[in-house]
Amino acid sequence: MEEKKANTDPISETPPKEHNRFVRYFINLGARIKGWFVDKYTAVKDFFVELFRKRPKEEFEPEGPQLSRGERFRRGLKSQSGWLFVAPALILMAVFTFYPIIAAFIGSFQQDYIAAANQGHGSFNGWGFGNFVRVLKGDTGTGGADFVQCLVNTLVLTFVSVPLSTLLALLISVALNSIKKVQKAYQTILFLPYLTNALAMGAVFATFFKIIGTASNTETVGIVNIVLGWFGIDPIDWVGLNSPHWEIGSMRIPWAKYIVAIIYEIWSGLPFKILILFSAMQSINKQYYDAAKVDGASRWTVLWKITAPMIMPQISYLLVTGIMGGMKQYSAIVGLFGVTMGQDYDMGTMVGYLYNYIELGQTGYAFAGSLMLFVIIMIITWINNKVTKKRTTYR
Amino acid sequence: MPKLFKKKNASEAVVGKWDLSAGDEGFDAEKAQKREKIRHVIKDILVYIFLTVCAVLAFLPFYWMIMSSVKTEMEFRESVPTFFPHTFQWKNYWMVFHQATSATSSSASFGQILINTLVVGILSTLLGLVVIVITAYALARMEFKGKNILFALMLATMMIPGELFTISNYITVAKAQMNNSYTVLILPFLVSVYYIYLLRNNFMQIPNSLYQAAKVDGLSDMGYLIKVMIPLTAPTLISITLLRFIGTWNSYIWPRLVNTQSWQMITNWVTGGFVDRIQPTSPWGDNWTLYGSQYGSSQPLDTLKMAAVCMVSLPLLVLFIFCRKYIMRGVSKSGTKG
Amino acid sequence: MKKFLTVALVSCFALTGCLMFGACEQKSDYDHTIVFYSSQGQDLALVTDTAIENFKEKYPGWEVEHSQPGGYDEVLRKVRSDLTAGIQPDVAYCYADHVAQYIASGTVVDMSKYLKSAESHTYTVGDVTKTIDRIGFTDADVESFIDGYFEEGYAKNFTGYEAAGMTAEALITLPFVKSTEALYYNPTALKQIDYDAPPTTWTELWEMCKKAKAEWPICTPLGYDSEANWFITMSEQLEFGYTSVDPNNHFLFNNDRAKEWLTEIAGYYGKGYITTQQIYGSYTSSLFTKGPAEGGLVFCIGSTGGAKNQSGGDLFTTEVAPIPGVDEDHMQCISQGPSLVMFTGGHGVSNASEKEIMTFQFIKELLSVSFQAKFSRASGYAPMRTDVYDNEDFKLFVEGKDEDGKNLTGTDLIISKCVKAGSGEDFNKRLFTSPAFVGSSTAREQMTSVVQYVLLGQKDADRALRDAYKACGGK
Repeated sequence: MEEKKANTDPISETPPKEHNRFVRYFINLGARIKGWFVDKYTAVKDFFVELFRKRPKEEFEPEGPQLSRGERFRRGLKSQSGWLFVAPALILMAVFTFYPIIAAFIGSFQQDYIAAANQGHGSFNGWGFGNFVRVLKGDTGTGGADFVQCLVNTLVLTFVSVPLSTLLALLISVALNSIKKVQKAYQTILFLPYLTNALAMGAVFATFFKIIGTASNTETVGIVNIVLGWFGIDPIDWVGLNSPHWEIGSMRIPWAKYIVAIIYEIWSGLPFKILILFSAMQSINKQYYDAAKVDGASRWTVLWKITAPMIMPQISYLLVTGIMGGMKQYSAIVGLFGVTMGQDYDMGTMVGYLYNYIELGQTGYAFAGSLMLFVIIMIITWINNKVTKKRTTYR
Repeated sequence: MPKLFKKKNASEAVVGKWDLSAGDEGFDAEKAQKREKIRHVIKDILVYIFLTVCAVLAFLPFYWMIMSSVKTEMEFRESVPTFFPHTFQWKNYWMVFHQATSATSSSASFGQILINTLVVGILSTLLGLVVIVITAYALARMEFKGKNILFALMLATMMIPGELFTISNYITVAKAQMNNSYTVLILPFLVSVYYIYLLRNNFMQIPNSLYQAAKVDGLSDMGYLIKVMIPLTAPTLISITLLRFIGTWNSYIWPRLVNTQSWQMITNWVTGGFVDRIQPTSPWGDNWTLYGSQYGSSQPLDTLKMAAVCMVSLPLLVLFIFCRKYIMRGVSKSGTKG
Repeated sequence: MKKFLTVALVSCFALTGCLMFGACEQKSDYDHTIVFYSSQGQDLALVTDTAIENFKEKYPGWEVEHSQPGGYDEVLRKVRSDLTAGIQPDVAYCYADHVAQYIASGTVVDMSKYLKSAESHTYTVGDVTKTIDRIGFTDADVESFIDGYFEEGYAKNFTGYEAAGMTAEALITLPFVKSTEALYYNPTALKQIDYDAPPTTWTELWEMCKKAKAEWPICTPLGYDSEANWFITMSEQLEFGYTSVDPNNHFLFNNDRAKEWLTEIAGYYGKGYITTQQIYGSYTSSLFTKGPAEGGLVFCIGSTGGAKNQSGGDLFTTEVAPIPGVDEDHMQCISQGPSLVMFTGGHGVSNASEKEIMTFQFIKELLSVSFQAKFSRASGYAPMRTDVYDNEDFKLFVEGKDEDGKNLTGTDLIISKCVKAGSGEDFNKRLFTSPAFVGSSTAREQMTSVVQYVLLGQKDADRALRDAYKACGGK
């Protein structure tokens, strides 16, 4: 962190008055990018310099030069015995983490790559961006999920459910924090949804919304519709084929299914958020509250002036992890809407897209999709970092 | 650390500012106090109501799941659902348990699936723990060339969504002939960078002087790790263990991809449809079904599904009841799910 | 040194622990285990067990692993992803549509070399050595295969076989059993609305639906299990075209007559006459068995392979009839049912060619007279060889009698009716198949969506077909 700042320092040296803000922004950006590379370069350089530096003999042989060569070697080895400790993890990661990253990069540029073809050696139509183009255009010719649809679904679900559940968690934590009796009991019950299996509970939620029976003979419309019926709202086919939706171009916005998914995500996301926020609140120094009490501050004032600022790091942490998790959701959708993720994959998510194309045998498209998911997550991380950084600097 | 410090300063400043504004108050103290008290009571009541509503909503799906699992399908489908079952039909569980399997087919019975899940859960948790502990120890305490680069590299992979790995890993394990085995469910998930990172930080907090003292006592690295560090970080380790086990219990995607039914896990089992299948033998007579031909043997029944869901979810709830402290602490510390 | 040793030991233990465990766990010996994927339900899997037992008895040392990933589509998905990883099964259920995609993998076995092979083969597993006298079928066996079904398996019916190094004469699939769609109806209900005979044309059917709806407002007169089959069948009956083998013009379904028909059935759906498997959420047979008075069906069009689920129990005796046609000359009926496709080299076995031979022996077991009869009697699928029909017991069965000449009842009776309906000489003339090529299974899936969208009124026929055309790659 410190180093980065030092490297980006030159920005401040650029005379600020000669340019307008717009131009300045780009100069800033350029310097920043350069700074980033300089940073990395220095790090790599330092590493290699360190690697090839002739070490003074004392480093290896603290006890003097009279040791035999074998002994010296053994001691040298011994000083590196840390590698032995990390070896299992390293080997596993090499096979299951590092290699796949490389393979995904290569595979996504092999156009129309099908790993199954040619007796498992795979076949592809030359190198290029063909996979990406086809995936983005939805022109895969396989009738599988549509990438843009999946992306929109994922973004909508994530950016609606995460802030909502964080807000709700905040309210509940504040309420929990303000009571004295049976706090533990509430806390425990509220934590229960955390332990559930997304698929299993998804199925339970689906029964709340499911209409059973035929159009002419409805057996039950589900609890939610019954409750809505008390307010004079006609039953809605929330999760079925007749689920209401809007159409924008060739895309479907299955809003009723969105609502179901969002309710589920809020329910399942709350416990973790409550736990984090509540324990953060508990660890706030009581002196602040005492001081506020002495001054007769109202609860709202205490909340907004003391509690909220103190737990800001936790809130931003929850938003970041929530968004990251949201971008990768899949099992809950399968639990709610089945393996085909709604009708014609209209509730598909990014991860669902990958598995869909693995099952379709279209390895190249799956790779390209996974790489794009990676890029999108990186962009969101980057924006997140920007926003959180700003917030911390301005406070 | 410095961040936190800064924050504290900031809020102190805020408190100070607000101090001034709140300065001029205080007349008719007694009346105000009384009013204040009433307001407090009302607020308290509201808070309790709010919390109770939330708690009820949080618990409702569980209640519904358990109650539905013992209802008859007819009752479940009544146009106005009953909140408490008229008749308890425990046979649902028997039927789900006996969604029978033929002798040579590899579709799995509940018993087989449960064994799979337990074996994989326990082994992957324990082996994973060993790997995590020794790696974290080396990264925290030992000196070797390239340690920092390695650590940075490991942390960098945390940025990449695991789904990116799935496709290649799937091909890798298949080429290595590992399909339809427990190994394939365990091996790829032994290393968890996040837990390594967490534990490393935990280890780092243990004062270095302890290490020096141990060295003087002639304790080896391994001895120090086992005799000193592990006991000191036991709570974190227990939390990691529990969370990993829960994670394995809930795994769905990978087993579905790499293994056939008899090697899959409990979550895969629960996604199947459960129908009113004719049971050749049962305690209630031969060729027994729950509802005769009313629902046929091709229509998945929700009550049976709920019974299956209960069988999968309840063990976790039991685990929670016994290890509430560790699970909650682990979650608040590690902040990951499984 | 002690420290070093401990470290080495622990690391080795951690890493090899899992590997050792991998070796210790009961792992299938794929060199001598034939993997069979099917979409059979539990009941049929139990029947197949008898074939597997027979096979194991005949060829000691060999095992069969029978896996049921789910329905046909799940088998397709599983095989497709298995092929990606090189862990394909040895033999699998397939539709012609599926095979078109498998061929490109280069692992599909040309079975013509084993079909009539008179060679013998000796294998050794452990301390068992056994000789198979004749690898292939006898001429009499092959003679007895029903020609039409058998012809479907030749490479010339598929696209892309040249690229995989096969000739037009290569035998890619062998039919296992055959089914068609049948009209199951509820004679009791039909009588109540003053009809004695089942409908033979769609016009008649809609007429009856109207009456049934008037009689029981909560009923849904017709349930059609497979949306895609409906579209494809109508494309034959109304001659509007579905797909063709012409590589430049595979997809013909986007045409005005198809739109016309779709709009027509959407109208009937609006009147509450129709439900389908996807719309109802499970096989419509469960609605059929309820009876119309309880909000069920009067007619159910479904596969003859699902006959055992169509029993009306105490409520009524299910009758089976051929599906309706447009007129006497347009009574086409889809021919389907699983074929068997054989793969080689799954799980990287070292004895691939021997395993092919043994897999073929298993296929022979599945196609044997006794098993074909048994399977047919349990399911309602029609056997694919003529000599099964010559079997005395089977003859009785088709006539609705058991071995002792007593009348069959319940499920068995329906199955017997189905087998009879699906195997008559006249009936075979009505059968047709749709061409198979890479992308034909996509077209099938899309037809399911098209019918759904149009029935539910989410898209008009024009839009639905256009979207489907685009999703198929539109070539």
